[in-house]
Amino acid sequence: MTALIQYVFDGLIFGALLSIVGLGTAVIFRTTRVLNFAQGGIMATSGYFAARLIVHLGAGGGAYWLTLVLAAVISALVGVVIGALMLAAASRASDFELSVATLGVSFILSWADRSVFGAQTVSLRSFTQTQITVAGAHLSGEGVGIIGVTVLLALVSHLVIERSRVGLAMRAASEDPMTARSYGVSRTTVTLASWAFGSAIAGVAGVLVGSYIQVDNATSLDISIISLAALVVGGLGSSGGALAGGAAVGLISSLVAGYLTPNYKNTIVFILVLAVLFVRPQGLFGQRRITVAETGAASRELPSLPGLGSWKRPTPAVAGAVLACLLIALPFLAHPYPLETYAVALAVAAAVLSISLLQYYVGELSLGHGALVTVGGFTVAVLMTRYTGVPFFVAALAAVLITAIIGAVTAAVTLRMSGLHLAIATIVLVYVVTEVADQLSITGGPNGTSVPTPSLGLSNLGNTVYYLALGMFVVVAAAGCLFLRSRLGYRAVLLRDAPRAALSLGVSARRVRTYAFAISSGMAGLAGSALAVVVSYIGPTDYGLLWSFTVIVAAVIGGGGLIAGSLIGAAFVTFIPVIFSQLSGLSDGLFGVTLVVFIVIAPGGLPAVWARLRAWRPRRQVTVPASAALPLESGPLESGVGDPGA
Amino acid sequence: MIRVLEVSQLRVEFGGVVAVADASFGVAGGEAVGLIGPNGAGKSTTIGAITGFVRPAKGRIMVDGTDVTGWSPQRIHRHQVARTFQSAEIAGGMTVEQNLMIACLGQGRRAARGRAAEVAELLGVRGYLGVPGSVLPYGIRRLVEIARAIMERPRLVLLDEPGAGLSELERTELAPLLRRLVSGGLAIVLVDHHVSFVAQSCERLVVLDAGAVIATGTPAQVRNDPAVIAAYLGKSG
Repeated sequence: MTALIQYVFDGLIFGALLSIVGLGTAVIFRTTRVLNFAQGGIMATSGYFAARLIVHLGAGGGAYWLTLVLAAVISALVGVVIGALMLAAASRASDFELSVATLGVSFILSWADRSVFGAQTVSLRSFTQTQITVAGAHLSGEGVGIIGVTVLLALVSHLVIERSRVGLAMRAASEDPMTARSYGVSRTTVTLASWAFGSAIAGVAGVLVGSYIQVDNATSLDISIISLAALVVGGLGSSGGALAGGAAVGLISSLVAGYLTPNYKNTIVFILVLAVLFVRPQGLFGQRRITVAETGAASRELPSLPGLGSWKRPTPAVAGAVLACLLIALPFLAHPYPLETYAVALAVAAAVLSISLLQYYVGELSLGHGALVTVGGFTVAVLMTRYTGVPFFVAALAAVLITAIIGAVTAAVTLRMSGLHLAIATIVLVYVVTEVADQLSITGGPNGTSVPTPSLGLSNLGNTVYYLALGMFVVVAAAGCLFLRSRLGYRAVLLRDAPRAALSLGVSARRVRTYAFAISSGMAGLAGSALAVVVSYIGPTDYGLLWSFTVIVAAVIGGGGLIAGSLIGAAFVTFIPVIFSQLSGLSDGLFGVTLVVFIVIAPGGLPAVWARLRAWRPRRQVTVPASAALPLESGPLESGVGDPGA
Repeated sequence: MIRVLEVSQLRVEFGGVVAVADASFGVAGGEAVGLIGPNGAGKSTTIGAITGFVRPAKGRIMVDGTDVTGWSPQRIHRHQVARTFQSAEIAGGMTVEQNLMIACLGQGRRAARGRAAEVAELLGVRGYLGVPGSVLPYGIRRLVEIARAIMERPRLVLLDEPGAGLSELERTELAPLLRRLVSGGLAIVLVDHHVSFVAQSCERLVVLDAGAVIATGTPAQVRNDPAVIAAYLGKSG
């Protein structure tokens, strides 16, 4: 009995922390339709700031609360800056892309924390040391304070959003921006206010987490991610949902850890989250709505299907042939870095391609493709080391099948609601895979597994892994091109561009997106098997969240271009850390800045920048995309339609 | 003979607001019926209800003798019903040919391409087959959408404001085209604001006002119907 009460106490406190973070996310999402993945970054910044400040303010509870308020103010300022960035990008980028941009913000924040505060883990002293004992179980005064602050914040944000004039303006601006503006609601003010408010809440969470657990980037990121899962369980976009979801997930994970096993805590919680979404897709407190548009219909042109038109122009074919020759001949040309680095870049390019396909053609966001890469890598590693007879290609095929099945199941369950739910599920998948790989003995536990290099009959090891990676990239690229030329690819693009027309043509959004996600997952699995072989090793945390985010950076740089785009993006994220290896941590900051700059200034990535440059060169009057400049044989209305004799 | 579309006592409500109030009408094969009425009369909602995008509160919708009331858009589509949208929903990321082919890729790529060329010829958009949807002029988008709707040789097509955004000239050229489609045995429900365009395209009109059918008949009959005149000119006029 004592144990049960203890678990409930611990679970409620943890759940309260999840709820606060979720509240901030919910406030921003409710008003701007942007899912802020930088909540963890804001928490860490706020926690580090508070840890510095509280030393100067002296002992006592008063100093703590003053620190909390000041940290919230600083966080609100950070939020205003992010909000301003979002406003600057809003005319060109969709809500979906703005959500991706917040990933870049989180990179930048963690880099700033490291530069300003150092990378150490700090602990923040609490406001009280009081302990209450209830039936043998300990309840800290701090825990009671955390729960109190949570309930208070939930009430305040509920009153602000649902009852106040400011909140009314926020909701109006989110639901119908045009009408709201005509009634004098300023989009700028509303966006900045909600970012400030949501970030201030994250700042409070950062300080509380700092004194209850610790301050560092990883802890904040973990809590912010689990809070997303909690938010989905509670229902995206309401204060009550954030509160209930946080409490539910906190309690469940505490009870699972206490009674079942602490080792598979995240896995069991994840399965329960999926179960809740399966039964009640809108979450415990959410409202059911059709959210076809919410999942990524962008306001701007997205990459076209490779059609007949693009093949008529000779340039892609010539450029493609040159590129292919370069890639094949690279081991024999001068290459300043070891061949293995180029092989890694090729394997990463395969992963980037799997993300580009989803993000740009299907309009789906996966934040956790690293999980699938890890599963693919381990599948190959286990099959090749445990069963020595298994050739690499068979193992790679198994990796593709397993990852595709995992992807299909995750997508099938979460896509009942919206693409954002799938995005959140993928992010949690990273935790599950890390946890399972860390525990299983077959995968080598935390130490991981070394992977043998398959023999291709080439004497040189560098050549072997390079051509292997090239081969895998070619397979993934071919699969991507086939997908886009298939019925499924056509349907995916139709769903992206004209969802209602797709519905009227009998296309099932959920089925198409599930298949597409499964295919992309299989591609990521293949990329993972290539990476494992190239690096000769696979570990549980090698391809975690940050790696997954990096792949998204690469996809955005590539602008959704399947072959050249993926290669350029992958080269960028692979070689930048190698080039700047002396300055540790700089590349993270650089990735973040790149991601934000691209989404704010050129959401089409490098190809769009290139196209714009080309359009500028001849004369300034070119405003129609080059692909449209095909000779039209005749206008339709002159040729037959108007024939009155028909 | 069973009519292709039979709508009886259709009622659609949006949270207490009655959009369609017990409307009944039917369309036979080889017939175009125009749904007209002032703004907010429930014309587009009626199309939405027939194609499964809006759930009716009451009433029955029969297509070729099968009760399709409350079916999903996908299922109704499989029952050979096609529609267009007021907003001309064309995929910008695909060429006109791809936009057309998507409607019948199930029959194989070659057959789909052939059918796309055929339908594009019929609607006079053949010259645009290689052009991406994102740069099409508005009028062409409309025609492509109609072309896509007839790709699979449906028995019933519902056109939601095909004349909106077109010039007077383009509309007068669209009318004979619709009549040609009908002469091939197709049933068409046409919703549009432009009464003269609907009158040119259809042999029979159904006039809706505040969700209820106030008149049916040939264009000439409807034009002289006192209830219709009142609805269009205001009750006092």
